[in-house]
Amino acid sequence: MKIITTRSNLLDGINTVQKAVPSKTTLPILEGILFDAKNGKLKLTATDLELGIETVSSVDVIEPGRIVLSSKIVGEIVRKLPDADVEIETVENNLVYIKSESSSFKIISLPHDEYPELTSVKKENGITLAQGTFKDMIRQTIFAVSTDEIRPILTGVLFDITGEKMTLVALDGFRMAVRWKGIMNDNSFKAVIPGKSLSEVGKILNDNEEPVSIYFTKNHILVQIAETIVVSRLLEGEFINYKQIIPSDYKIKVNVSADKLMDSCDRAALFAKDSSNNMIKFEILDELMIIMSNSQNGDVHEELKIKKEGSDIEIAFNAKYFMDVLKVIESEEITIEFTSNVSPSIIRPCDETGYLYLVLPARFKKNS
Amino acid sequence: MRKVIFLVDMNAFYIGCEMTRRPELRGKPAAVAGDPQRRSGIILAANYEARKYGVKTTMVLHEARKLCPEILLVPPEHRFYEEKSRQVMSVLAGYTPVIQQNSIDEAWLDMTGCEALFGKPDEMARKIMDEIVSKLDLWCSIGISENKFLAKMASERKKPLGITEIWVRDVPEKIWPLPVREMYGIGKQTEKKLFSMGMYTIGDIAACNAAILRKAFGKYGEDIHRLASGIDTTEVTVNPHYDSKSVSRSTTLPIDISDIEQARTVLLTLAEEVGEDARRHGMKGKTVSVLIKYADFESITRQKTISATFLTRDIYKTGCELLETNWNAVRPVRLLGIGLLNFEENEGEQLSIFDIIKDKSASVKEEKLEKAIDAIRKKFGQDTIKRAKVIKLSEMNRRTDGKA
Repeated sequence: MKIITTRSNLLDGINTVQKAVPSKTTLPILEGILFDAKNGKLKLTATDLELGIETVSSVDVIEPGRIVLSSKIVGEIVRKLPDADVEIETVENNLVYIKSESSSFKIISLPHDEYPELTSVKKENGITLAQGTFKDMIRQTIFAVSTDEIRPILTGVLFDITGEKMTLVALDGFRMAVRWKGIMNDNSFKAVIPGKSLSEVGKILNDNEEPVSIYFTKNHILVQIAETIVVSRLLEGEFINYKQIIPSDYKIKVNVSADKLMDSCDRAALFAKDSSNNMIKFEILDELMIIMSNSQNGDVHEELKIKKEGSDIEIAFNAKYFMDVLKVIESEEITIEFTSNVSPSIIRPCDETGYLYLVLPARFKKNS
Repeated sequence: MRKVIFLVDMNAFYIGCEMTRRPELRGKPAAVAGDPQRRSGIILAANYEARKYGVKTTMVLHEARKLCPEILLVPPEHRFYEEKSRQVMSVLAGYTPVIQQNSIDEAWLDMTGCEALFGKPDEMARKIMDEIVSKLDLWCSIGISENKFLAKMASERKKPLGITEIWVRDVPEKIWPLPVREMYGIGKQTEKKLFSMGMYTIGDIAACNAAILRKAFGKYGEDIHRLASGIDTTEVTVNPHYDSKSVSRSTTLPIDISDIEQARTVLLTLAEEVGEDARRHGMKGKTVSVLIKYADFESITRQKTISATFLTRDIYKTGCELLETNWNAVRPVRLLGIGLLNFEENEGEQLSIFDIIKDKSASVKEEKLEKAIDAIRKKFGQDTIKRAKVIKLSEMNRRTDGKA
């Protein structure tokens, strides 16, 4: 194999596929990136067997061929090369030269015939939407996936596709993020994508209107982003029936500035960190919301102007669960719906439809 | 400064409480007694009129009736006694903040340094006793000393309405001549063992070499040796609001049983009481324990951890599992107990979505059902509503009554 391309083209490709290279593996070949050059194209592939990424770019193919290079070594070399043309050439057996301007590296390649094929997914019945939209949908849900392996299904994000609507759901037992969007589609099905895979997809997606296409098979998802495809295994098992958790009604509704609430929670959380559950307490009065937190080091009292319907309520939350959602909401104002201080509260952005965040409170001792 | 510790011990507390609301019992021999239908039907507390006839706590009913045929018996109502107990504690709280409640009817008070406010120790004790009598119409005895052990010993000296001081210097004269059984903390078994070692009085224990006691009783031996000399360094430690480490019930069976089905029924009645208690306090426990005492008096305790609950159904079900794995058909059982412990720390507990999902299913219905049963019992009495399974138990009791 012999190719010539630019350093930046090569680096982009490596950075993209490297996300799928496992940091630990029992199969040494997976520590490599597969370079496959033919017909003026270079295809880079990496996989950890759950997630696979492939990206294609146009290069000058002087001699077609396949090689596998250690992801770590080739990545570091290319990163440190000058911004110029790069030549990669196989010489006898398993030796590979990487040359650029006055630099020349000689590295050993891994046996390419051992490299596993990515699972092929037929590109049929795809769902296409804007990259920016999909990126937002992922960003607004993925933080709520569970990190607890006790319920593996919850380490993934549910794609609930019903006719013309695609809903992403992530929940970890204490809070749940739900984001939906109208799409062009005829089928109805559910699939759970591992959180890690989806997070890598999110990193590859651009924040623009360019299309991204998603295809599902029984066990896999394929995401096509321009010249890059991401293939991931789906998680097996039944996802929790998220709809039954969402309360149909509420007793108290509050409108508040998202930014100001974020800042207040951020300050209140300074003391909350000392408590076991990172707990902050809200006291919702007419037109006023008080946020409190205390610890042996002191306490904090924050006041916020709000609009309120319904009665007063005192309720406590894990500050993190509140701040996580405030970080991903773009709307200036949010509504919070409360029912009681031991039942789920719902946060919705005022200027966006298609998003809902459910959070469970923490119990607290009443001030006597 | 020398410490001043009081032990306030309510005299004949249960019957005392009953007399405050049943004037007809006053001046007549009366007692609070457990279910007269059962072997466990015993005198829980007799008033001083009844005691004159020789009626004592733990005496079985027919024995008490033999001694005192006109004795008036009332069934116990623990909730009422708990309420009265709280009232007593709040009177005591007017004298010192350092109160350690030892049981429903007694508490230690650290009165060190209170002389300036209330006078000499015996004057303080008199004030406390008078206030309890005038405010609550209840009697107490107060023991005064410089440590908890001697205060307790002193309170036992004179009942009812006694105020007794026993200081460390009084130990040889007032404590040492007492039989070992009089010593706080020494029960039947220890007494037996002490007798076999030739120790009959508390003075004998104090005179004994500590090493010998340690060899015979372990660390407990050192403790009784020290206590017998009037030395007790434990502090009066303020109780955490409500001692809520566990809820448990046990019962001595009317007859020894070897049929597991009968044991299950007994367990159900006990689980109902445990569940009711836990629900009343809104406390969910994560561990269920079962106590089995065999006819040969050997007993075992087994426990199992489950997801936090206060439902009778869950307590009972777990209890049955424990019973089944530990049941030995050739070993009759004399006493059964079940308990719920390891209560959830409610403060700061993060609620979980899984609770909601679960709640939406059977548990919420079960909780509603059990709370409804609780409410019916509270309003109309314990026996107005029963589980079908328990009716069999009543029959079993009736049969044994017939025999007796």
